[in-house]
Amino acid sequence: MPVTKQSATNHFKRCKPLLGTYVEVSVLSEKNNNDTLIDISECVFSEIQRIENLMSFHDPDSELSYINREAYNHSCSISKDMKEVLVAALHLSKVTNGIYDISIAPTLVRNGILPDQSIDVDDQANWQDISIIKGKISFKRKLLIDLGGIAKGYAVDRALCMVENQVKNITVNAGGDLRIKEWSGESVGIKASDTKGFNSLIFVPMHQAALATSSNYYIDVNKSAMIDPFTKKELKDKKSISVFAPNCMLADALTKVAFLDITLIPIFKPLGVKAISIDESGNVQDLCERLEHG
Amino acid sequence: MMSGINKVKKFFIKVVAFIGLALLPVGHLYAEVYMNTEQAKEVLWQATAMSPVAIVLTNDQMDAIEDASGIWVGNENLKAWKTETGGWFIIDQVVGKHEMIDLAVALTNEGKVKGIEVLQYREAYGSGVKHPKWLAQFLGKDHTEHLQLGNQIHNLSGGTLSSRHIMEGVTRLVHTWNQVLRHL
Repeated sequence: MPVTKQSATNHFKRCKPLLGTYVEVSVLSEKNNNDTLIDISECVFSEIQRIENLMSFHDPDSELSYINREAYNHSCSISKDMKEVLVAALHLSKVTNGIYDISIAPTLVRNGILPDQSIDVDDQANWQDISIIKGKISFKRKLLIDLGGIAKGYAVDRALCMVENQVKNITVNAGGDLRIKEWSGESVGIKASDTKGFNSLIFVPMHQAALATSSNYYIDVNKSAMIDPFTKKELKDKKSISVFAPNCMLADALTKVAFLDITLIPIFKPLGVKAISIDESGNVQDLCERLEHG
Repeated sequence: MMSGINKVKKFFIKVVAFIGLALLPVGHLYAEVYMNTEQAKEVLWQATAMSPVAIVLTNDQMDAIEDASGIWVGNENLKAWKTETGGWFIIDQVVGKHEMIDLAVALTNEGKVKGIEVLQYREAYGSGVKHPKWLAQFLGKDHTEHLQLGNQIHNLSGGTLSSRHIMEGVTRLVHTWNQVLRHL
């Protein structure tokens, strides 16, 4: 394995295509041998693969696809992982008055961002039509759930927490949604895009264990994965927004909230959340401070 | 025999690909080296013995793979090893709009994907400079030559880059097995 000796510590990074992006695992250990480090990284990738198998919109055999097909017809038992993500998502919907909404998948299907699974939906349906009672989910109206804005962060959290006690430090980075065990003093390069579409990297210190960034610059100029839940219109803003949070699931979800209504972000400040935006000129702005001080 | 239409199609694909590559801005390059070929062999095939097999795809084979997979075959040379169990270990390279990746793919003796490892990942960041020979800057290199950032960056965040190109590369290799490797 690509092990770098660093004063009696072993360090290596490994990368695999998962979750539709590149998942990188970086492990620092004082005592584990290389084979153990390989095993630890295998645990991380396996856990991420397991979550992807449950929550993929694209995979017709995933638990999410089963829910999308059946939850209007009858209540469906859901896994512990699915329950945790859905409960968190619905709580965010409630706190943000529906700005965060996992039921916007039909718009993403119509826009060609998500695959068409030929399921009829009610255009009036929203997150309030999703009910979870005693570990079972049901839809009051025909709708489609997409967990693309939260499941990646959850997968990073689950994978990191599974092995963090075995290593000195570990970073799990799923296409920019990342979490670091010992994050204090770490820095991160955040991609930014200028008006001509040229990308650059802006360096900022980590403010919390997890970081997620949302932006549209890798998406086709005519398509956006960011949808206003009220107008159902795509957001084509070129800026990027990064959210630091204690866990990656929250960071992942709040990048979407920040894009849609930045004034909601201070609500999450007591949880240790910090949001920054990077504009087309590469300027970094602390969004909470800007809102507090006008 | 390669049909005339296929020849024209290939020519246009190459022209478009070259123009696309030439227009890509090169300023900075983010690069990460994860493992080398020998390490990937060990991770994907452990102690299984394997031998290199020299494979140069014919035009007909490249056409057949393209027809079956719908994916352009840009390189007739295949860097492959056959294991004692009839499986394969292949080193490949995929080029996306923003990224260039060296990968190792293990296929079972039934042509199923056993594992994928990213060996090197490079992502270009533009400073507005258009360089027609950008590709030559890092094509085939296995060290961090020409890198302005290299190992200074430990973590990278941003709008999620799709791994579509790597999955296309793996699909192409699975069809390469079906058309060529299974008969060797």
